[in-house]
Amino acid sequence: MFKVSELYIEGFRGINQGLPLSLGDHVTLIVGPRGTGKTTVCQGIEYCLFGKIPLLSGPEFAREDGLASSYHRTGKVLLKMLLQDENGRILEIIREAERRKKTEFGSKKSKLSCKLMGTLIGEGEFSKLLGLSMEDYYVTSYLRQETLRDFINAKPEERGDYFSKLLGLEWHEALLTALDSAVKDVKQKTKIAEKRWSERSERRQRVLQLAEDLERDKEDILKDTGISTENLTIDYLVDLSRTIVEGVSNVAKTLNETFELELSERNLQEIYRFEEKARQETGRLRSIKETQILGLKDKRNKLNNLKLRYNELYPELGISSLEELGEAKSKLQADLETVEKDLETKRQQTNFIEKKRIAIEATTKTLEQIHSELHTIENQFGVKEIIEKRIKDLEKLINEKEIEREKYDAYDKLITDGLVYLEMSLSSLCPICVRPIDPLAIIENLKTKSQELKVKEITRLESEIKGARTGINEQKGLLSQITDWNRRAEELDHQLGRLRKEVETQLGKLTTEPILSFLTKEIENGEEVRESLEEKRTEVKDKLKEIEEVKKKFEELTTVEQQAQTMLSTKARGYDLINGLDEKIREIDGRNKEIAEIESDLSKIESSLKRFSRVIIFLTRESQIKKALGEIPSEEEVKELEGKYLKLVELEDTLADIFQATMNDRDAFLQRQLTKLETALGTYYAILKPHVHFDNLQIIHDAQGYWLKASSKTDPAYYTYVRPKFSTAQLNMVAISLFFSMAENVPHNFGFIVLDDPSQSLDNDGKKLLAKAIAQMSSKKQLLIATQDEIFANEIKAACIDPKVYEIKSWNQQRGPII
Amino acid sequence: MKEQHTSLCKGIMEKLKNQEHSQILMEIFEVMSEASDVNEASTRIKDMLLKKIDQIVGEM
Repeated sequence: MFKVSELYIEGFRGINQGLPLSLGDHVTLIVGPRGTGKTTVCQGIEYCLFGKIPLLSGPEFAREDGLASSYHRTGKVLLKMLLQDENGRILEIIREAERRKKTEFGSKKSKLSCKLMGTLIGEGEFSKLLGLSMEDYYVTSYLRQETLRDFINAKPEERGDYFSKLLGLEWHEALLTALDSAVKDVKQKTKIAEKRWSERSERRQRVLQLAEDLERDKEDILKDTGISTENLTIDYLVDLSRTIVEGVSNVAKTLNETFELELSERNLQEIYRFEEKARQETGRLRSIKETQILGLKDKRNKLNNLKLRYNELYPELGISSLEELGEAKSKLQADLETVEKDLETKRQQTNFIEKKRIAIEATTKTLEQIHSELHTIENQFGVKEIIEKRIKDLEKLINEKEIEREKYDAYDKLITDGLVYLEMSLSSLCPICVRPIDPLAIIENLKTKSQELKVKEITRLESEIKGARTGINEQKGLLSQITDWNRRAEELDHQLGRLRKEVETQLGKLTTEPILSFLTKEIENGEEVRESLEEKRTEVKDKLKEIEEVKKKFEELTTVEQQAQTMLSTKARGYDLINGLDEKIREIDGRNKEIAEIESDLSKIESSLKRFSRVIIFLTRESQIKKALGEIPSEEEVKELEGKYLKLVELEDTLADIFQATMNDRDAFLQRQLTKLETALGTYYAILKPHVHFDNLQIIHDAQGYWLKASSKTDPAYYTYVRPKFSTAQLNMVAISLFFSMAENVPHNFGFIVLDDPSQSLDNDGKKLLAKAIAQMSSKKQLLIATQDEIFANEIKAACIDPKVYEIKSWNQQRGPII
Repeated sequence: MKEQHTSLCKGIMEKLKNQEHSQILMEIFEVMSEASDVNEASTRIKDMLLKKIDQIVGEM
């Protein structure tokens, strides 16, 4: 394994004057501030080994030379590396280049010179000697932060190429790539071969089949058409064309049509054209025939319908004009008006009689009631004269009672005066018996008795007078009522008389019979007259209706007549017209028969055309198949193609089998390599301890690619796929673990590792742990570490055995780094 | 054949479904052994297999 003992850089980027560096066996540390050329030293090694720096490429570098120093006096770039392996072999590598002129663009090719033990070797042998590809170099020998971060952040499927190389799968992959390409190619070729074989085979089969079919068709044509084998020629078609033209001519003549049809040349193309034209003409003439037949049928139907209707209407109506109908109608209308008028008069008269009858009936009824009442009173109280006598008697009684009363008044005055006298005399002795008496008591007693008697008698008399007066009033009331009813009866008699007179005046006749029975009879008579008038009215209306119908029929007759006259171009009427229609119908029937007869001509033409068509199709196919038979692939050719196809299928099968076997072997190999890598990965991950909980890191491979899975040793179920839960500093430590484990395991002959500023984003503990990991790695590989971090540099110095240290103090344009 | 390739060839051959296919596999590894690196090997194998296909196909 080669390690680097000496390094020389001149005219490269910021290193102007020659910078010689002797590297330590294990660790070389370049410490210096930012921008003083540390990374340039790292890039110098990269450029010396591979002649290019991919990171320093792109559009800007195409315009400006970023590799050669701008201040070197000659513009030459010179890089030297002296390497030595454990067998003492010394390899000298010199890379030279020139500064690009300002007029030049793009990269300028460098010159490589290699000597093994002083002997020049070619570039291929140099590459083989180190066994280190550029990709290997970036992942196993040159730790750039961006490269590792990109790697960590890459998707699982994108890590495949890295891991394949790093895990030694490149031979498998190369084989798989070549096989995949070959399998695709052989599949494509197999498809083409199969297609060609099947195409040609099918074409051959198809043409042979067509030839067989043609023979069968030939037999069918001969059988179906009745023509002989020798007639399957163009000459036969030419003869047949004459028959067709003749038939078409006859049909066209019958239909009064012209036509164009002729076979001008004796070749298949012209025969096809003739056939098409003949079909068109036949079709056209058939269509014309059908149209004509339809036209005739239509016309015949019209004429026949006109004839039938005219024949029906003409004899039925028997009138020659509408005027006749008008007169009849006017007469009927006048009759109708008279009937209507009579009906109205009768209706009014009936109404009058009815009204009067009701009035008379009511009056008579009232009169009868009055007479009845009078009769009742007379029966009960007597007639008027009796009542008047009764009143006079009562008046006489009153008079007598009043006289009697006056008498009592006179007696009472007399007694009162006597008692006054007595009172005034006051004798204490009875005048009669002369016995002592009490005169006052006696007078008082007499007064009382006299008064009582007076009152009693006067009350009786007044009561009798009062009774007599009441009787007079009652009798007078009866008398008044009788007088009143008699007056009303008289009035009603007058009213009845007036009504009768009105009726007699209205009816214009006098009657001696009772008025009510007379009026009832009159009403009954009026009803009979009204019914008779209504019947007459219905009769007249029916007649008018009939006249309307006749009118309509007459108008229809006129229309039918005009149509028939127009169709026959005649002015004939009546039976002359009917005969004319009959004659025209017979004429149409004749023409129809004539046209129908050309159907057989058309059928013959169509039959000929069918034969014509079959023969021409046969002749065409025969010609094509004969030509195709001359062009089809031979049986040997088809067999050869089949053989090629089968060989390709076999090769495809073989390559697919080898491809699958290689895949299986690669997977088995991959598992072994992953197991190996996991040991180293576990070691460095344990030293760097990026995460407190996830203390175990594994590389997992599945169909989706490679996965970095961190888990807890004590609880394997607790895990993460690194990216989701790790910080940037933690991801860096994972990356360094991976880088170191890969550097240990990837097989190549370059025992040298470059670490450019590996402590970025690490805290002091992290730097210490990284220094420890570097010390571990330095027992296996030679390391060159560039850093600006003094703490980290001190940790390296403390952790590693005898590191070689270069301290860059500053940088200037003329020299570059000042060490 | 190189030692590394012999081992690889043996591993793949054991995994073939049809041992009659091992003849072409051997031819592939003979070509692979002549190459100085994997890229060259891949190219040589591709060329060899394409040549084999073309031999079968010939003029179609």
